[in-house]
Parts: sequence; structure tokens; C-alpha cells
Amino acid sequence: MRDMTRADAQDLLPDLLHGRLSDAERAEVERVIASDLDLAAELSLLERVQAAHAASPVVNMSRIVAALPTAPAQKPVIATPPVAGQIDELAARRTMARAPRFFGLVRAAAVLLVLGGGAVIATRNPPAPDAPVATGAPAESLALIAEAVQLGLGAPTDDLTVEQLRALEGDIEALDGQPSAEPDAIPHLTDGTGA
Amino acid sequence: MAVVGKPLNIAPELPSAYQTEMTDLIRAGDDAEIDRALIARWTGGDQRAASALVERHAQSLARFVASLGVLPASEEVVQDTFVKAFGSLESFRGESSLRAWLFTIARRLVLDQRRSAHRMRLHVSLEDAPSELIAADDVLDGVVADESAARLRDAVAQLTATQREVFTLRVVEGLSYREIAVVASTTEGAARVHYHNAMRSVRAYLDA
Repeated sequence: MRDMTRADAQDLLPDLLHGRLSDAERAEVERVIASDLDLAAELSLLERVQAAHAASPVVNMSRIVAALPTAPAQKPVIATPPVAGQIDELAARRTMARAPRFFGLVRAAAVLLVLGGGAVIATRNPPAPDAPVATGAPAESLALIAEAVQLGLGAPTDDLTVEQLRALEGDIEALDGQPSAEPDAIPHLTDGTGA
Repeated sequence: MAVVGKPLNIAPELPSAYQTEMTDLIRAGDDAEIDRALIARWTGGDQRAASALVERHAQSLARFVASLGVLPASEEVVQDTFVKAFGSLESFRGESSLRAWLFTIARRLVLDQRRSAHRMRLHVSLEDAPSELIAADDVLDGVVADESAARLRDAVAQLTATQREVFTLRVVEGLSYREIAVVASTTEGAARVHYHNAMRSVRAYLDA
């Protein structure tokens, strides 16, 4: 490293004053000053100028800090109205999309219960011997089955044949073979014999 | 206006553990490193780092703003400076020191005020400010009642606006020529020339 010149040292006097020099730089500047009275006088003047200007207007730190924006990571995470609106809209869309399917299933179940219930009643209360016996499913019944299948499965029934619809009707009637939620009355308990 | 000449106290209201941590940080690094660490803490959500940054720079900013002749409203300028700075602190790239950046913002705010005043026919430009405003440091005499100190301030006050700005930043605030160049929108070479011319002028004033 070349020796520090007087001009270099003079340039660095304010840095020496503020302690902004490395140990090596400070030693070099001090070495130059030690042999130059004029530079020593300039350093002394700078110290006095700094001291004369050290006073500063009173600053209310608390007021300044209070006016500052919040630190980024502390900002509360709140969904902005557009985002919240989008979420609500999506939820509403989903509900609306599910609604027809849900109500379709309810309607299909209701139709099947009506048909199944009718079949049960018809079995337990057989018609009089002279009553006319239906030889086939009425057109209205088939239409109801078709509607039930369409609503319940969400599939069209236009392409089902009459035989297929009747098979479905048979399946519904077979439901009667399933255990009832309400057991049949037990004769020996209800007829008063107790036997 | 009341003035103080006390050294800065680093966030006296901060919890002692945090203060200890800050003290360790200050011992370990230089000014720029400390500022970078505090900025990182603030961007990480530590609001106390903001207090520490304000504590570190508010008074030197107020002093600088006052030296530009804005003594009566210096606190407002200082506050606006910090608000503006913290508003874009996340984008601060550290190409210059935080201190130089703050001084640059403060200087622009002062110039904007001057332009507004000019539009209202109350013009006081940085270059042509009347001596009574530039010599507003005289207000400080009430506290620093020292004849020689007053004379030293007069010596600085008689400099041209550019010389005074560069000289103040270099001697009172300890900025490097590079930082001064950023603050005063000039070059390092020009800042150096202004400083040495100012130094000669101050010495000549005091020797007269």
C-alpha cells in the first residue's frame, strides 16, 4: 500500500471525525496529521463545527413511529371484498348445481315409495274374486316409473322398452319382500288368548 | 423551538431483551449492516425494528432538514420522510445507505414544499433562500449560548446553498462523498470539490 498523501488525509478528516475509517486507514491519517500542524488545526475546526451543529430540533419519535405503516408480516390477513365475493359466488353456484340432483332424488324416492306402498296395500287387500284383474301395468304407472328412474338416476328413459320398465316395476314390487320397519301384529298377543 | 443536543438513545421504551439484542447488533456491525438487519426484521413483521430505525435517524434528519432552512416545520418533514420511506422499504435495494436514502427523500420533500410555496407566490428556492431562513439555526442560540459556536454556525451559513448542503452532510452527518452525491443529485467528484471550497471559505470567514 502506498503512503497516504496529505491530500488523501485531508479528504478523510470528516471520516476520521465520525469513526468511519478502518484501523489501518485511521493509523495512516493520524500519522500524516502528526507531522502537519495545518491538518491538525483543520481537524480541530471540524470537531468544533460538528459540535456547534450537534443540536437538532426536538423530534417526537413516538408520533413518527405511530404514523408508520404496519410491518408487512403483521398485516391482518383479511379476504378483500372481491375475494370474499368470489368465494360466496362459488359456494352459491355449487349449491345451485347440486339442488336439481338433490330434489330429483327426493322426487324419485317419493314416487318409488308411492308405487311400493300401493303394491303392498294391493297384496294385503286382495280384490274380490269378481273384480277385474289388471293384466298389465297401466300406462300412467309406467310413466311414473320412467320419471322415477329418470329423476333418480339422472338418465333418460326414452330408450327403455316397455318390458324393461315392467321389469323395473317388478323390482319395486319385490321391495315388499324386504322386512318392514313395522312388524306385523302377532295373532296370539292381539287376539286375547295369550296362548 | 426547543432543541436538544443529547446523543441518541436507542429506543429506550423497548423491552430490555430486545434492547440487549440491538446493542449486540450495533457492536457487531457498521451502520449500513445495522440498518439492513433492522429493515430485514421490520419486513419480517417486527414493528419494534421501525422504532429502532426512527431512533437511529430521526434527529440527524431533523438537523439536516433544519440546515436547509425548514426549521419550523422540520418535524413534519421528518415524519413525512419516514412514512414515505417505510411505504417503500420492502423495495429498498440497498444500493445506497439507508441514511443517504432518507436524506434524499427529505431533500425532495423540502424542494417540493418550496415549489408549492413558489406556486403560492411565497417562493423560497434552495439556491436563493433569504439569509434569515438559512440562518434559522440562530434559533438554536437560546440553548447553545456560545459565542464561538454561533460564529461557527455563521461561517457555515454564509456558504452557498450547495456548499452548505455538502459541507453539512460531510462534517455534521458524516456522509461519504458517494452518499452525498446520491442525496444532492450530483457526482462524487463535484461533492468533493464543493466540500473543499466550503472548507476554505469557512476558514477564511473565521480568520477574517
